[in-house]
Amino acid sequence: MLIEFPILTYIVLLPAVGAVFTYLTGSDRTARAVALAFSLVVLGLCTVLLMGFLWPNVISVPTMTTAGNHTYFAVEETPWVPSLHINYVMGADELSVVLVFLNALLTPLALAISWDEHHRVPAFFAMFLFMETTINGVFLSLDLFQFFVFWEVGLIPMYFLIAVWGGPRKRQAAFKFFMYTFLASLPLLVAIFAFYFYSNPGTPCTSLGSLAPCPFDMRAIIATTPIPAGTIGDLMFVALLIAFGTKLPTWPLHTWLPDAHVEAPTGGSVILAGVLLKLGGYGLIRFNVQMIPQAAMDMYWLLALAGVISILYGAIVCLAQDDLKRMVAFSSVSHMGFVTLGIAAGVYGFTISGRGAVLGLTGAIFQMFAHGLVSAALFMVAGSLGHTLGTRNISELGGIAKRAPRMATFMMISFMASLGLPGLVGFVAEFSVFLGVYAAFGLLVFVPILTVILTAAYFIWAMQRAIFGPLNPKWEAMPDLHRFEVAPLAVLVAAFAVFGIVPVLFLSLISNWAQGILGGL
Amino acid sequence: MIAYEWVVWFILLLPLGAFLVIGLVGRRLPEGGGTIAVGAMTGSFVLSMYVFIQVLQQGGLGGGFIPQTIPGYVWIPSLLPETSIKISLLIDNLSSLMLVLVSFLCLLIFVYSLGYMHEEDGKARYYAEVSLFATGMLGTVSADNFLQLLIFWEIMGLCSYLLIGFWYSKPEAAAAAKKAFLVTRVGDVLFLVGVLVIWNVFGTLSFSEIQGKMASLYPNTLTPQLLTLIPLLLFGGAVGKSAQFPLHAWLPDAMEGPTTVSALIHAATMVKAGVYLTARAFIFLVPLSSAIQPPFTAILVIAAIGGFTTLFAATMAVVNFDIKRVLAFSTISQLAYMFLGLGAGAYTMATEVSRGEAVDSAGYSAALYHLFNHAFFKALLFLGAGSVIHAVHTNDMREMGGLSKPLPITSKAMLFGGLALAGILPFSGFFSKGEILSVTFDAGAANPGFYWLWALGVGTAFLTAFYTFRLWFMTFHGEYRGHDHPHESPRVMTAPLIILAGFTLASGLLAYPMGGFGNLIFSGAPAAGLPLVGIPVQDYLLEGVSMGVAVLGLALAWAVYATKRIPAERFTASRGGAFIHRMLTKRYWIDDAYDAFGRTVVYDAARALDWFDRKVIDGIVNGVGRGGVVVAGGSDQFDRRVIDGAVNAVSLETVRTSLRLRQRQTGQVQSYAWVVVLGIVVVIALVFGLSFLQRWLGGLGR
Repeated sequence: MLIEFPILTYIVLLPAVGAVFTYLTGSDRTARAVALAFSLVVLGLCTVLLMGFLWPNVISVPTMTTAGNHTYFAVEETPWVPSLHINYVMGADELSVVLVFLNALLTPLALAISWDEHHRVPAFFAMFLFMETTINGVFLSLDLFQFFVFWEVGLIPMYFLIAVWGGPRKRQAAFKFFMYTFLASLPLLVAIFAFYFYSNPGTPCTSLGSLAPCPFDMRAIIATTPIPAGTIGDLMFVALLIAFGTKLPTWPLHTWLPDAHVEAPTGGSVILAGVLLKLGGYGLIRFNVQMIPQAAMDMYWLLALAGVISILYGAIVCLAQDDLKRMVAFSSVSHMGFVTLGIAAGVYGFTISGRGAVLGLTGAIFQMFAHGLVSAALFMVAGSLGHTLGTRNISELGGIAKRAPRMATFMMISFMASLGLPGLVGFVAEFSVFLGVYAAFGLLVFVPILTVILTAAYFIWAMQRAIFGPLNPKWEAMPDLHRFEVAPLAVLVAAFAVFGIVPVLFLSLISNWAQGILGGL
Repeated sequence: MIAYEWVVWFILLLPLGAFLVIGLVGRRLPEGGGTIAVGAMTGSFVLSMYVFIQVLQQGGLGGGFIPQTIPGYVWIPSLLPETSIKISLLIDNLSSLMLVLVSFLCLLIFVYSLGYMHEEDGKARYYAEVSLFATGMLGTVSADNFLQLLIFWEIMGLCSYLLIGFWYSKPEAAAAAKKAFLVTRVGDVLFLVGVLVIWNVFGTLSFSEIQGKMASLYPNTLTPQLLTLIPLLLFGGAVGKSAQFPLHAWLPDAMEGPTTVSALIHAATMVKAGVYLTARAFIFLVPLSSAIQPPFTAILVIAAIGGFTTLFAATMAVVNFDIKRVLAFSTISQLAYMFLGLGAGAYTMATEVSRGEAVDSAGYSAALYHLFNHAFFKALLFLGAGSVIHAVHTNDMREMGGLSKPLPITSKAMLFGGLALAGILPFSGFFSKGEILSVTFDAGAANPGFYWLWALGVGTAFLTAFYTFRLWFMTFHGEYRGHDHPHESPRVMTAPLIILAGFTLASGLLAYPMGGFGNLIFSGAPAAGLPLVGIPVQDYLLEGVSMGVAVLGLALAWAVYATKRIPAERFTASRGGAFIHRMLTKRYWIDDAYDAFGRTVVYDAARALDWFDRKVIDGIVNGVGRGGVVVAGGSDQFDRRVIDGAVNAVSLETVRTSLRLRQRQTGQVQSYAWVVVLGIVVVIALVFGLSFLQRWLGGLGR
């Protein structure tokens, strides 16, 4: 079966269309149904796209461009601002397709977990679809200008989700989120200008075999790597690291995250932690590694350092948190550190040990996917708990497994997945990253691996105080999870198991791609 | 070759299926799905026997069976297909025996649970978790590579955590579960690093492939340092899982779980996984090639930790009054015997290899033989203790006594178990423990340090017999000191006891028809005839010594706790004695030290870092933000005062002007005429000005 329609444009724009419809529906009930329907259609499209990558014999994805030694599928190209050589370019490769699928999977789940929101429902659900459009746009854009537009516009729906539907300090948190990430995008803008000027905007685009210049085309930049190695490249690397490291977030650019999560509504947290943070990891790989590989080889240590500090720092700070959501937010800082560390191991280690380094980068990418699933479940659990009880403070809970066994079960499974229990998805990613780290840095792996104990410590200790022990009499009458909360959690738990037991589903895809990338460095 | 090899997968899949079914709908099933768990386990046992019998038939006794890998699927792909990490099962003599052992014990204990757990809430949870545990243990012993072993190993750890915390509303149970998970996690990290190193060195994790690549990679890729490090890291995992010093602290607390769990997980199966892992690590400890220098340091560490822990744990068993905790300390001590046996055996084998002599795998066989025997008699002791607790509703032996009358079957079964644990002929413990001690003594010829370890082992044999019979006499002898109405347990519980009691005899004598236990677990080296088949006279002497001290220990227990000829107070009468007693009851203060470390060092560090994060890092961010607000405020003031001030000034001026103008409204026509003229001038000026402005702007546009 050949895909004969511009599938990527559909994947990007359909949610926005859905957002308009959702907003225009008068009643809350129809708004929910319309939003969910649109998100499911997009999930279907993304699944078809993914299957095109997994089983090319069954579904073939058309129009591929090969630039340098990288191939992009389902490419769509139209001039947009011809005078500046800005084009509308969509294209998917293995890296983007995994993340787009993650986004498409989490959006309906985030809608489901927000089913009982009653404040300005149409606008609320429309925001999620709008969010999905911008995120898919970032992952699938192959033009720098277009990428940057989606990147920046994506802040708006999240800003509103926090500022309108958030917790008690929502205004402040939303403002901080917006300003912090907005300011961090400035280095990205500068870097985009640098790419433009260094890729000779006046000359034809040989790497893509076209006569028109293509100074903004990401495929061409990846193929030609126009930035000269040395100081300029290194400065670019740092600038991009600031931009993407804030989104990721990496230590010490992480402090917007706990505040944003604590105030965000549950569904917003799910998308924020599940997908929005992945934009940072995606950018690091797409820009820092693919577009300025020479600088990445010089500056790998900065990535590794940021990764290791984030991993340990995040885990230790988690031990001191009382608010479950804040704890989970810091655990995100810790777990996203694996992405940075894995990238560093891949880039640096490839010269020493090919097979280990490939697994390092593969693990970094898989960690993005794994963390997307796991953190979504973690925030759903923490959010539902706060929603039902009015508090998320561990010290005020106690023994709730007695009254809310389903809540306790899901909390336990997602905690276990997050602490890297073998057989669930998180372990696969962490293990691959550690393999890569050992390949690159040898027994220094002992430093980041301490997190395995620390992570277990804060999760297990939190469970001991929150769901075990004698029941706090305050919660004698607490209700268990509702059906609309069980459904998305059950989907996620099934995904933990599937990707934990047969990770090769995605890993072969990712590791082939990672090998191609590192081989081209 | 196993006929229909795919059925081997079902040994794992049946309990996994039971887990899923019970986990999802167990609450609606009769007995919480217990019958499904038993049914699935029966299936696993039958299939394990099917595999085991084929292994025996084809290999004959003597280990001719060629290890067979049952292919599965790729788990983590890699650059080259052959370096991919695969999930597949390994059937060799050791794993097929372990499959039978594990599935049989699981089956017995599941059946016993039908009675023991009958009145509990949350039976579905219990049966789901024990079924998952069975999957984990069966997967651990049939894993074909180290990573798969680690995966199932951790699944067992999860189940252990959940089952220790089965009565999670009890704060002690919740705390014990946490402790078990975290302490074993420390070992797991070492194991994990070991796996990382192995894969990066060998490009594979499979046992057989590693052994094949060993000679070609030594000493360049596989440096002597790495060859020492790898088994030590793996042993680190074993120390956590098998509760050896210094990671032993979790096991006694783990007794907060149901007694069936203690019997199955914390005595018979899971804690043995560490021994099993160390046995699998023999491919590193004893490289069967004289070109490779064996890692003697690593072997000595294993033997020394084993030798030390065995006495260390036995001393704490002596003073405890909790019937289950005594057995828990005893488990630690017995597991340590196995490590001692493995270490001593490996040392002898490694010495022989490096000298180019024939290799004698006696230590390996003896340790695994003890694993096998201990699984039966310790499961029996725990289930017996469970039966006692079921009858008197307390764990405290001070509230027991005289129970042999109301509990005749239990008391006799536990007597069998006690004799086996104490190592009295002809019960099973005698054969394997004696064999471990003689192997240790023999290793003294290669390294005199082993004589010291042997002395520790002999001392432990004395203490073992003492605390075992202290337990038995306090529980079953004398007068009942409690306030309950004890009665014998139902048939479903006593039947497994009777079966296990039979095995305390049978498993010890098993070695004879097999021509030595070593034949069952043949590890590719000769001397499988051990133990007790064709061994030198000297060993009979050594076995005699170990049994002699055991009899002494038994006699002392008789004197102190049965006839009370020697009052127990005599030992704590002196100040030194009292101090030792206090030290032992406090478990050498190790648990307190760990607690204090967690509570103060780690938690305070976390709070300090949290403060740093809020005040310093976020403080800077907020400071910058506030700075921005200040600047904005400043510019706002500027805007208000200067710019808007100008505007306001203008408007104010207008008002004032109008006020002044009002005074001009005098009603005099002349003054009006002036105003009209002035107005016309202004309008004309404005029109001209606008057209000029337009032209100027137009010029700009052009």
